[in-house]
Amino acid sequence: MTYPDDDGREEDSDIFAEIDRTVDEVFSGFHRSLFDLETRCLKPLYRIEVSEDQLTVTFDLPCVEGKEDLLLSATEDSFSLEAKMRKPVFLMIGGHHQKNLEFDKYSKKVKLPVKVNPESAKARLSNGLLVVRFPIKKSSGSSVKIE
Amino acid sequence: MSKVSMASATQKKVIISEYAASNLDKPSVIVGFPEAGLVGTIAASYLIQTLSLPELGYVESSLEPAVIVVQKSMPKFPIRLFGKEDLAIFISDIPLTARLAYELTDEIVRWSLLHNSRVLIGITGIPSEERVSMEGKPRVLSVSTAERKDPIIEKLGGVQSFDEGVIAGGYALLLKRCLSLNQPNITLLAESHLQFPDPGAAAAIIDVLNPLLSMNVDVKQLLDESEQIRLKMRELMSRTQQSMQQMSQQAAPRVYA
Repeated sequence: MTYPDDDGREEDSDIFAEIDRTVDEVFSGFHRSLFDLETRCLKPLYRIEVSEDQLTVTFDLPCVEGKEDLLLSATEDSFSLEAKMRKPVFLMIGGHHQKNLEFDKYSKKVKLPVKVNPESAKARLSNGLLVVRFPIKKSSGSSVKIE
Repeated sequence: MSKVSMASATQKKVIISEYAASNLDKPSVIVGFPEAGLVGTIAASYLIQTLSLPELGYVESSLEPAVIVVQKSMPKFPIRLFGKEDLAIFISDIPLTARLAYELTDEIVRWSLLHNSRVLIGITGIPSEERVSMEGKPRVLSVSTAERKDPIIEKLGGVQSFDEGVIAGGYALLLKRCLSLNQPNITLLAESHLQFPDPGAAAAIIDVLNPLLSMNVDVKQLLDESEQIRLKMRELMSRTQQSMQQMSQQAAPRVYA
């Protein structure tokens, strides 16, 4: 993408690509990634970081207070959480719903990008942030011989 | 109110329109874009509310996505201008593409020069891994185009300066344009989350702005409503994540120093 001054076709394709993306976003039920209306759950924002030997998933869980409100489970390649909020919140759902709905819990299943050892996972909750660390599963490699 | 640029060969991509002649007088211009931790947007929004700043105008651009946000049954321009007397605030409710940011920051700096702005202040977050486990207030770092002996810099007091590194994104563009057009710029970066809304970092920014601009904005309400803000801003944060990724693909490998 070059800028600033191209008034030629390159700029047009930028704009139309942008519009396509935005329209997709708006009409593809974008809310679905943040809310689950059937189960009345919020899906939390999260972040996955992979380092050489550790995978860390961090979740933003405002209104979740203590570890007794959390239910966590993991497999080699996925992590699931359910968290109860201190008290229910009302959030306005836009789009075609146009309703103020009550939510009192988070629920999320995350597919992990690499395989981990779930039994060695460590989780900590502080300031409404949940940090879960997994050691990455080591696959036994073999040394490469050079001719 | 002037919407048309004079003597310009190419059509203007970004236009700042003011509703009426304002009483702005050599304003300090604060700019709040959604970036790391939505710090700029949260702080700008809180200032506008707390100081009851009137809406002075809006930005229109052919580079904006074709969206409008409806709030309380009213359609709103996504990028707006608020202010009175010696304070103006540009606030964006949409994440900026690189292209839009380039043109928008250029126009904002030119607007500031036209209004004899004393200083343009960029407010944003600088992502920090320690933020997750941080107990107290996050630090605020400052970058400034003004000289050390400039009286404005003195009011920064003990704020630590950002001495080495790379800054990327809309605020980098603001700094560049301010440098080239000679508009004094102070950019404040609060240690923040990258991908989660961070009202605590926004509050730390306001604590630095208070002595800088001789204001007395109380951040207590901002901190009390921290959880609600984190909930309400999830959607904007999610959209901003995508846009930050796109911008960072064009920057140095370590996006934020």
